[in-house]
Amino acid sequence: MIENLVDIWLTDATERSYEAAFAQLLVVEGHRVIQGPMHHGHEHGKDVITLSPADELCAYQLKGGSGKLNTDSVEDVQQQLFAAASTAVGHPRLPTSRRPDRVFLVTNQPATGPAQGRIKQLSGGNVSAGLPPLQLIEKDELKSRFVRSQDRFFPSDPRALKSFLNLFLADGRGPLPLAEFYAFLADVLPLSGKKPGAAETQRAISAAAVATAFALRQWTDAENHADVAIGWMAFTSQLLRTADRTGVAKMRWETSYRLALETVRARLDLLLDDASAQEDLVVPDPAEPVVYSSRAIKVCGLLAASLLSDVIETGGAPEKAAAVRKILIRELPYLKAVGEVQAPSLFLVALALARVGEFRRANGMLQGWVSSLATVNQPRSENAVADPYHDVQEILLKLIGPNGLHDLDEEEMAGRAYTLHIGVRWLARRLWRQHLASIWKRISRVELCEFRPKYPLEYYYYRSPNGTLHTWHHSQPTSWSKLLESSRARSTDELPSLLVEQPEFLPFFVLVLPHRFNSIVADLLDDVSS
Amino acid sequence: MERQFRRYVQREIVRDSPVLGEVSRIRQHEGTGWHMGDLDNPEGSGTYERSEARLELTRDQMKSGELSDVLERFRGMAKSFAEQQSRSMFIKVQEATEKSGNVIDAGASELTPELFLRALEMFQQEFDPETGEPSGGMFVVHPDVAEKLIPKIQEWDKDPEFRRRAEAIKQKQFLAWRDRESRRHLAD
Repeated sequence: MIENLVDIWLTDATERSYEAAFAQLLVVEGHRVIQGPMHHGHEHGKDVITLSPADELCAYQLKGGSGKLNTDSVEDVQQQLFAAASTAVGHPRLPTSRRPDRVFLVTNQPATGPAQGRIKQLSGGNVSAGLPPLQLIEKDELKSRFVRSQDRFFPSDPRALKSFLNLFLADGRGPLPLAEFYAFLADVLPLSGKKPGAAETQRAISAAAVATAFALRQWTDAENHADVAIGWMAFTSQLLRTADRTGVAKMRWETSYRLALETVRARLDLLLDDASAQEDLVVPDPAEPVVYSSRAIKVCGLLAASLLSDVIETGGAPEKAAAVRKILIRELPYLKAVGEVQAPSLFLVALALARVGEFRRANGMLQGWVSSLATVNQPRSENAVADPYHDVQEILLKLIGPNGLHDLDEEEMAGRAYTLHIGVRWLARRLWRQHLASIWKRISRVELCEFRPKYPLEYYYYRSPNGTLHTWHHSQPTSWSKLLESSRARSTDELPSLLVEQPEFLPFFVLVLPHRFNSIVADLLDDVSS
Repeated sequence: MERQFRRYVQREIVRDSPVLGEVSRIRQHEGTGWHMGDLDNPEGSGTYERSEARLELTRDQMKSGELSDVLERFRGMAKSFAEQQSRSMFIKVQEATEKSGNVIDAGASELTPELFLRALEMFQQEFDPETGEPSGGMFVVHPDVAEKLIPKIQEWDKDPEFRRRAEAIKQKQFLAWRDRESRRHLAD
């Protein structure tokens, strides 16, 4: 069955469908990945670069498609193969820049005899010219390598298998079912039970990455870049959880982490390209007037997170900042939240706007959030927005469905909020006293809520079995100086250490675990992004 | 189906004990602890008490019972939950009032107009900011007590002096409310 699944997965796959899985497969096989899948002018024919277990520098050119690889297809990539063989690889992990020792053409297609012959000829020409030999990895070999590694990444438990198959067969045009995805990740990573040793942890992480790539196939094929990115963000959060839990050395998980993060970023770059190429984010559908604002918030939140992550890690690229800025400003009038689950996205957009110099708009967003939430979530309000434990789909279904039949009907949202105090803290730090004073009466009536997991590790949990829900009101009157002092106070002791040490992941973390966007996480995000 | 039955039980709990319907509820989606701040008690925390109720159906009932039988059993569960929750709530209220000193002990004597007015005076009344009329709040008494108390209050209300004092208390509560509202601001 596994062979069939791999066969189905590879058949008609595009390069983008399998590139993340292939890179992670190389990690499973013991390679050290120097560069993950890349698609830009500087790649010089090398999509993936690794150091093999035998310390050979290997360059991989990936191709995808349907049908067979024939001589025409080989000719199409000949220039790239030559570039891959003849140009040096320069990377901090290499003592000197040098040409690869081996070059591979990787394809999900079966190759015709003449195509294989052509590759052999090209390889012979390379060798005689002092260039590295060329090898072909085509469908059968690719399949057998995945199948050989399957005992490491393929879920064997029936329940886990069911969870995997549900994802594998889902409709990739829709949103990724996050609760189900986290359950799947819990099946493929050692998140509970006996802690494995360092080597086993490393293998488990790499294998889980391959499983993730498989599970996201439908979304990848549908070119649903947003939800593919979300899937990899969720995986990365659980990778850090595994590493934090087991305490393994960074070298054991860093490669898989970096590959996953780069996959997130690559997907979000594609999302940015798509969003930039259109005049809006409309998907023609009768339901569009209901869902457009939520899609706009989702896309803008993702793009903002991508920008901020780059800025946190490398300072960011001006061209990308300009492109993101354009989209955020274009969509700003449509960013109307339906629930507190969208608060992290809106706060990220505000941070991103500030980052690109749009301070007035950034402050306007924060003020708008605080003011609106304080109004609609007043006691006895009939328009209160749902807490962050309810996703957008659930909220929209309640909005359009008959009353009294929905889970949300069982809960009271009026009179309380989970993200109001976060907005108040952010505005206080920015010294917006007058604005806060003008709406303080409303703020003072709303009960403030915040969940604090009991242990740092539980910040990664989709649902924590321990922990305390804190509820309180602002004191009356509230001292501005005390409010300011408290909003400036910081402590990251409660947070998992790796989350603090990998701040570039924080913008993504709050998107895939929005109910973890409490004051501690939000303050850290504000600090690292500013 | 399970979800619908759960909703039915929740509705029946409130029908059985209307006072529970007046209490604001929050669903805690994870964790086991709670921590609250309020005016009288800056810190209150704890974990949740478990409450249970049984529902039993014989095999024959499962095979040939009616929906009304099932609903009757769920109503039984709801009644049990309502009793447990009400009891727990009143214990908490008693603890909070004893701690704050907001208690009048009438001993074994009957309720008099004087005692009633004293109780009224201790009550923190809210008012509608638009109309200035009292809003929210309720007296919770045992049905047997209510049967005796309501006619008494109606009788007392005929006394001009009682009405004058009740009105004075209402005025005092209104001023206290206005004072509380005026404190909803950002001070230095």
